[in-house]
Amino acid sequence: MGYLLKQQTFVLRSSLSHLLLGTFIFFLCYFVFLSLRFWINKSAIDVRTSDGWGYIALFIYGLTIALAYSMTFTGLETRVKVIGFLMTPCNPIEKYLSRVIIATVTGFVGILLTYFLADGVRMLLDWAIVGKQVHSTIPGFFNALGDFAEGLTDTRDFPATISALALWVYSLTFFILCSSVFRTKAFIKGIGLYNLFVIIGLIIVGTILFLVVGNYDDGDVGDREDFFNATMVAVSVILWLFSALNVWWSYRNFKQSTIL
Amino acid sequence: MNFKQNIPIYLQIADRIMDEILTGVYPVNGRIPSVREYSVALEVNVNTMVKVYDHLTSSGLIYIKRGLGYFVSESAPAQIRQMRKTQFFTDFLPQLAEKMQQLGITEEDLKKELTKYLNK
Amino acid sequence: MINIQNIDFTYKKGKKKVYTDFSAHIEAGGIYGLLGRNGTGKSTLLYIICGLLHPQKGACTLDGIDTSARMAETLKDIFLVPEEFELPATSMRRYVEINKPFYPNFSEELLDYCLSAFDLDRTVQLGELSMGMKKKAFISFALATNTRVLLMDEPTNGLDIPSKSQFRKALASAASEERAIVISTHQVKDVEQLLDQFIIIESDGLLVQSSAADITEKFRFDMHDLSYADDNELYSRPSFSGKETISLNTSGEDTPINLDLLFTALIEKPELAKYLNNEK
Repeated sequence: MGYLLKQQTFVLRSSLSHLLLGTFIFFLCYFVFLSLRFWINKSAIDVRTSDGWGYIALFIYGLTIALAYSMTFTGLETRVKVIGFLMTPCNPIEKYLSRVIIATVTGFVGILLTYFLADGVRMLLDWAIVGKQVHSTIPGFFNALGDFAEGLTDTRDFPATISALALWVYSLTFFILCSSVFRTKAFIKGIGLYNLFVIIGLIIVGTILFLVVGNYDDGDVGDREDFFNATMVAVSVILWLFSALNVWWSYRNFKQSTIL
Repeated sequence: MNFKQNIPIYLQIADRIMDEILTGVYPVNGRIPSVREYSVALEVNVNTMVKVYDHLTSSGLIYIKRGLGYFVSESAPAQIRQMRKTQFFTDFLPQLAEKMQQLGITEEDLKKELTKYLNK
Repeated sequence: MINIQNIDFTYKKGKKKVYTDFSAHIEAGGIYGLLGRNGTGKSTLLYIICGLLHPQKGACTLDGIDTSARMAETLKDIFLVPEEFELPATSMRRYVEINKPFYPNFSEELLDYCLSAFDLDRTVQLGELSMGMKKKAFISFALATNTRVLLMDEPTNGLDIPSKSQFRKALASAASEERAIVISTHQVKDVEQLLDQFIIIESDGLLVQSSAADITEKFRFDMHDLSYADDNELYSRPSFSGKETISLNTSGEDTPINLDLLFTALIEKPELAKYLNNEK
């Protein structure tokens, strides 16, 4: 497996470095965009380190991780490229896992590092342009993460948090599946399908919740909350199941692929 | 390497090795290349070379020394010369006779021309 | 070793089948020529053997294991040299370093031997090589993996004449009793002398599977004057000096196989195949 990881990292070295470079530039642009008002009006309060921005950072970060996962099966667009990979003497499950591991590490570690690097550059620019010592967004980012983790242990927040987490995991596995189905432009196609199915699904769930919960009398606040929580947990379970389905399905696609 | 028609390839190769024995490339009791080495040099299948060496061994021209390889027999050069002399009379001469008859060449015509070449 | 059993294959449902109830087998120690006209599915068969394509019916097995599963056990015994392939832009040394661990029987010696036979070495930058040299580099690696099964699709395509000779030498060195080598080609003359087994296919399936020994035993190949006539003659073709013929071999003599002629004869008169041991 180690050799397989070494081989695949080598094969994907240019795609991965392009991805990391791309996300670095993207984060840099994002920071520059935020900083423009701060740089022009040098006394404006630096709002970018508030916790709210931490959540936005989390969202953007998630988006780039989805991009990384949509590249799980990259580099297999032509027959010639596929032959090399499929003929490598390893079991299909090993090959599948090696790709998922590479995508995971690139997404969660590689992209995180480019985010920190972009933040560092931002801080340098701030100091060069405005002359003030500024704060990093990184603490805000980890605060948001910490809040999220706390939400899992707190019984009141648990249902909402668990379904948010489930949606996150589901979204990532969704992109792995898209990568296994689409040979090229998996991310764009994935975003398209994702919007179509997931957003519609959320609208349906939201509508159901609204209709059912809306029918409770005001006096039954407790019941309303219980129903809401139960629905959230149920939705999260469905999302976990679908995440597992995505993984199994993407593996099956890979195992049965031929060079047609 | 180009191969002539009609004569089996393994016999052509055997002939070639006999040439090499006669010219001293492989001296008597000296080692000849292994089956594999020769097959690589001539770019042929190993099985073909095996047939060659089997043929040469059964004719007594080479012998095998366990673990060391194939060697040229003591009697090989003399044997080869004798074989070829015989071949001259059994293979070449009948063809010559037939050609002479086809073209109407007499024995006297032949002798006259032949002497010219033999005295060179 | 490799058993192809009653396979059906078509690229697209409804389209003409490339293979219908096709069977063949490949044993260790043989150097197989997979011959057939363009478009008869030679490459397809190679892909099916190594599991890159799945037959709609039937199966191909290596030592009893279905190759379409592409398990590590089977894959490390098979190596495919496709007609077109890509090499990364690194040195040969790095390439070997990355890819060698997957092949337990890899031989450094054989690699160096083949590289030098091709006038290459480990320092060459694979990205800078011409097409022919890339092929030679890749073939060197392929031979060095020492897999029990080596499949080559048109290996001499793109090689200049000296390179073809180098290729034959490298192939002759790499062949062994434990290895089966299958060479799919339409440039028969390039590898003729190295083949000892033949699988000849036509657009409707297997024409004949036979060995060089069997062909030599059953047929004789001659060049005759036009006036020559023989009851045993099975097929003839005009040549510069008269005609090339294939006849039933009643003389017991071995004549060199005129593979070009045999192939042409079988295409034109498929019934000739019945004389040969179609080992099914």
